[in-house]
Amino acid sequence: MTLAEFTPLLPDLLLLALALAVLKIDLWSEDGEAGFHLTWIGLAGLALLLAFGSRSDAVFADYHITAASRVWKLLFTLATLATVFLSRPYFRAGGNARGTLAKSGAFFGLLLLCMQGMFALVSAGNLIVFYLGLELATMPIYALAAYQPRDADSAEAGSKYVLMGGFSSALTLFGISFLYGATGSLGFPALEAAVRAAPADPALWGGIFFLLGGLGFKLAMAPLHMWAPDVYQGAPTPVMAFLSVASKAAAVAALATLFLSPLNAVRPDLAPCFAAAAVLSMVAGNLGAMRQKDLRRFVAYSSVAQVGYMLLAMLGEGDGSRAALVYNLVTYGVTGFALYFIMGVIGKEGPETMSGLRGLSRRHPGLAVLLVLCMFSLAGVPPLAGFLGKFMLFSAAAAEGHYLLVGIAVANAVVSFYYYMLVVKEAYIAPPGEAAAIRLRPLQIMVLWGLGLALLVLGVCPAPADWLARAAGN
Amino acid sequence: MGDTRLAAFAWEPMHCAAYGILLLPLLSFLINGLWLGRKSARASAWTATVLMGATAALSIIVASGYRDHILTAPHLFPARAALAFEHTWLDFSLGSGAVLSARLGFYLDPISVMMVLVISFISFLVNLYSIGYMKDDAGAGRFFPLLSFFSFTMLGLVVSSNLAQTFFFWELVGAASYLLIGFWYAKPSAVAASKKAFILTRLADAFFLMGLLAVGVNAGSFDFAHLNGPEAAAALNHSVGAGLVTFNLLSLGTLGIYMGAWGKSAMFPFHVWLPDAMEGPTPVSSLIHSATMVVAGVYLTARLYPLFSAAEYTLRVVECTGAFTAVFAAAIACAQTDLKRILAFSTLSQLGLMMSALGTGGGGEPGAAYTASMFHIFTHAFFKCLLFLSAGAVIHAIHSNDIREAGAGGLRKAMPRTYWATLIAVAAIAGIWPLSGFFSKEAILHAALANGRYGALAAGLCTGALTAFYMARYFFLIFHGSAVGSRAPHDSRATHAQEAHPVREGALMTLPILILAVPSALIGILGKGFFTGTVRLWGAEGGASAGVSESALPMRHASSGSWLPAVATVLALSGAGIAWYWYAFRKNGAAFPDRRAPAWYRILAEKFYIDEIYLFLAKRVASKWIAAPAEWTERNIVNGAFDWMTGAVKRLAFLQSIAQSGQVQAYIAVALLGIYLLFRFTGPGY
Amino acid sequence: MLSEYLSFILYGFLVVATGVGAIALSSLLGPKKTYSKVKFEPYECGVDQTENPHKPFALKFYTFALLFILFDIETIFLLPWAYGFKRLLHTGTLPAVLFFLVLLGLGLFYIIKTRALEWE
Repeated sequence: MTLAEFTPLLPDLLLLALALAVLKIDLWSEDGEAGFHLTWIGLAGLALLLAFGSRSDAVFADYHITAASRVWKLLFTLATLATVFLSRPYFRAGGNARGTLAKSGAFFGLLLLCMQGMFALVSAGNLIVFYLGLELATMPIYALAAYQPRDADSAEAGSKYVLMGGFSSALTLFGISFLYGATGSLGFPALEAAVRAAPADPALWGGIFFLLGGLGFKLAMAPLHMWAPDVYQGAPTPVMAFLSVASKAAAVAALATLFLSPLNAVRPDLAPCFAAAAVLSMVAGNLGAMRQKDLRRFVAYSSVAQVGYMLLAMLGEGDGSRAALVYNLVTYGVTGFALYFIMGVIGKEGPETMSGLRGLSRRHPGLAVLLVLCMFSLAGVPPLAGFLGKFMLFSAAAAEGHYLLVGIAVANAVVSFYYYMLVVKEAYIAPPGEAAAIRLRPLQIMVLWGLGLALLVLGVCPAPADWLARAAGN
Repeated sequence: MGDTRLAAFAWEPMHCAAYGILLLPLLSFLINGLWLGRKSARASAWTATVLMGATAALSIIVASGYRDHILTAPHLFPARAALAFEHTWLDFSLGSGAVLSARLGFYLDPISVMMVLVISFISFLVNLYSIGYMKDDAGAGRFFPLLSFFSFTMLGLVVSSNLAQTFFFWELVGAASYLLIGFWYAKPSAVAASKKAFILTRLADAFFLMGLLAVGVNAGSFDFAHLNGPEAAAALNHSVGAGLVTFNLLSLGTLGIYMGAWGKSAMFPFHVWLPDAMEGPTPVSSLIHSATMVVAGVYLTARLYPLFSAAEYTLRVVECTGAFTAVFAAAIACAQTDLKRILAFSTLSQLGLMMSALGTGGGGEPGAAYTASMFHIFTHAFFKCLLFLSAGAVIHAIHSNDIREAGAGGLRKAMPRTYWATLIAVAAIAGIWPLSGFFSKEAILHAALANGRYGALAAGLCTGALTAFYMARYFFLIFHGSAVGSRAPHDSRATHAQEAHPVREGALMTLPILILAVPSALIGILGKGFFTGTVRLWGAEGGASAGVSESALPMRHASSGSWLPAVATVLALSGAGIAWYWYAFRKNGAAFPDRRAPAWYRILAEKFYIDEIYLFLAKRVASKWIAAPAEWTERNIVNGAFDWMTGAVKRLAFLQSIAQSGQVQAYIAVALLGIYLLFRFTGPGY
Repeated sequence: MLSEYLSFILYGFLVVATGVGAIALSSLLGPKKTYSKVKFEPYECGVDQTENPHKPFALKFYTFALLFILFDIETIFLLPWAYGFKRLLHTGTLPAVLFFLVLLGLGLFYIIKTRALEWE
């Protein structure tokens, strides 16, 4: 094997080097600045490499580099990059009312290691690699969720996530063992052939359901979603952002990797299961979000509902589904980070709750407009990004004739409208109190404009996300 | 583009003008919204008005170009629709190689061109009017960009070449109206109204989205040119579903799309948002009621009319909802005392007429039904806008919405131009010859007759009489109602308001009113030839799929029902006559359903036997048995049902929060149970 | 059909019977419990208890324990390779193991540098 043959593997190797380097550089850096700059520059470079670098597919034993995996990796990289930027004020003294985070180098290192796990997950060609990736993508978050120093909620989030994560790992592993028992193989190609040959094997189905249970945890899919509100609320906001975008994308990617290729043959039989889980998630998420006062908890429930919408795509035809999922994750990520950005800004002086948003339209009209765009996008109002995301998901399911399900989803979207409007109401209608006007730094204003434009552009001109979705589909 | 039903043509000015029609209002929105609105409200008002005027000019270029180069170009016949431009926006991969394209286009056909003309012209006048109306408002800098945005979205909607674009702009129209109805966001009632409007129409839109997906995915295209062809209807006309629940896909899809129109056009029982939407500034109301927002529903139904007319069941639903809403809203309007509410209910009633006219097309004469409905949309836009603008002038002058306070003001002398303009508009909506409403209403009645839809015909006649009554009541109470001073408790306040602000007719506000009075009066007699004569709206492209032959298309004025206009006019005049007698001659004030049954009532009954019947009908039947129960139903049942639904959802949410106990063991138990149940009930063969 | 499962059913029955039987027998035959205050006190070698035994441990113990497990397991990975070093040399696994060792070394370096191994 020559070195040139390793070029497709370059992003994965670079990421590992980056993670180690960030951990190491932190040992000598006093204020953590070096670690931050190294991380974001490295991630930006990685994103460029993934977007414009080598396009050849390659197989390294059970590690497969494909076009689809590259798209997922790009998605993870961008989500992590956004998380890194988002976390910046949380490490500054006085940057957040909840308290300052310490040890930024380890924080970024853990994020990068988590990403490494996600990379392995989407490149897996074997259930063992798949499981290792899943674990590596989960374990750093145990530590990250408890990262807020001397905070009982954060400690609770960490311990809950450990317990639930351990439980879900056990389920996953149990499911994998069933699959191995049913098919006699761990490699994806052999698995696919075996599943095609005997799709009704009870052991196979036992395995699939346990596996689905394990993945459902990571995905926060109802009825396995109940950890999400507690963990999201307790974790520091950047970690919550990472959980709700990057980690969710990883779980969706895992679902797609497994059920759109090796287990594709049984997917039609799984349709009722996906449908039931989708409806449950939408209903649980939407009903839960309605009564929330804490924004992180609100995000948790709203993301459970989003999972419900995304599961609709699992009912569609393969390539279309993958494209719809990627597209929706892009739009959801942009919308989410716009909301987290606002949370970060208001969190500087007050709690990140509904009442913290009060009077935002007076305190900073631009932020309030961005909030409205976010909420409209989450609710799926055109021409914002969220609309196209939802539309793609719904049409993926509708194309296979699941009209009733699409109907339920659309009805849920209407219900979700109610609580998204409640947020807008806080920002515009509720009396502002005596909170002072918010002043943004020039960089923050640029971010505000960028996110607002992205919300509009992704809704009006879907080319960038469409390009990604297509690449993932083919 | 390669569709044979679309005419290919090349006339460069038209392409450019078409771009301009969409870009200029958008430009106005961006300039004013991002920059100018914050600097100077006045400058932004004028910029918006000038740009809207330019849009109106461009729409005239497009309209004349369309007439010369497509409609009357013999070599293009029978194609009557064309695309000024079209850009692919997004290709949805539906898997297995099929691609569903959503495009951004500018579709030209008689009704879209008509709507572009109407919208740009009316938006221009409303902009002009708003300069005066919003002069003293602190939020004026925010108002004009939103107004431009509203016009932009509606223009984008009517020129859509496909359903995806329609839906896109449809939602934008909803968002724009949300922002404008809640314009005075410090007022809780305005916020509640805007939320109600938005959420109710969103609820209807949910069905629209489903219908759109069902139709688009199965017909393989979102394009109107394709959907309105016979192949699309044939492709959709089959049953789907399993077990006991099976649907005809054509009925289901069209019904879903119609649900969207149902909500947007505020047909019963979705109508509850429209009267509340009066919380917005009056210019906004006039736009919503005449050219944008509510007519979108009727327009969408008309836009897909060939497809709809293949689905008989859907057409029947259209007819029934329309006819019911027409009579229902007209009855309610008779008992209202708020200036703008009367107009709001009259809009509901007129929209109902348009819808029911479309629905009557199931009787074999879709051409007549379609033409009549579009004709009424056209005339209604002008006189309804005129009504709102003049009502706005009255409100602006007396600082009150109450019709009883208006009556005390002697406004006839103080505002002569508004007086005459209102008179024209009232006569037009009442259907008095030769004003515009007469012709379009007559066309609707003819369509119902020709299609043999006697229920819709009766509803139309009944609505006509009621309309004449309440509009005349409206008019007489505002301008001839001085007697009210003796008994109205609000009188002193009204006079006080008047002393504080002497009544004036501002030039900028009067000008649009005067301009609008001209089309309100004349557009019917002028447009009649265009709509029903040689240049017919109903072209070969629709006739084929609905199974209508070309020979059946011209309106039948001569052959059947020449008595209809006479009956309609008599009904309208008697309705107006009763109102005159009651409110102007006897000066009975606004309290028409008076509980105290005064002495003159018995004398009246003995003297005029005919009057007694009319009065009995009007007072006992119309007011007590129709208007009052209808209002009660609306307040308690319809509103109550919506309240109950939201309450139920909230209770469910509370139940869920109990389950979320915070204990990990409970979470794991729920999860295990969930996995087991999923496995048990959705796993194969278990 | 039934006979195939007979042994299984019997087995299940035996399992349950043994469990239940043992508990039942011990409660039947065993000495009856007497409860007193002394019985509930923790046994501390006959010395009276002076403070709550559930004291929080220093976090360093856990760190040490965790690190020990980590390196312990990694040693287990290395041991078989070292044992078969001569034969495995030709299979091309050397770069992989070296890579693993480098990672391990970097980890150790990180631990030392963050002073996780220093008691004070």
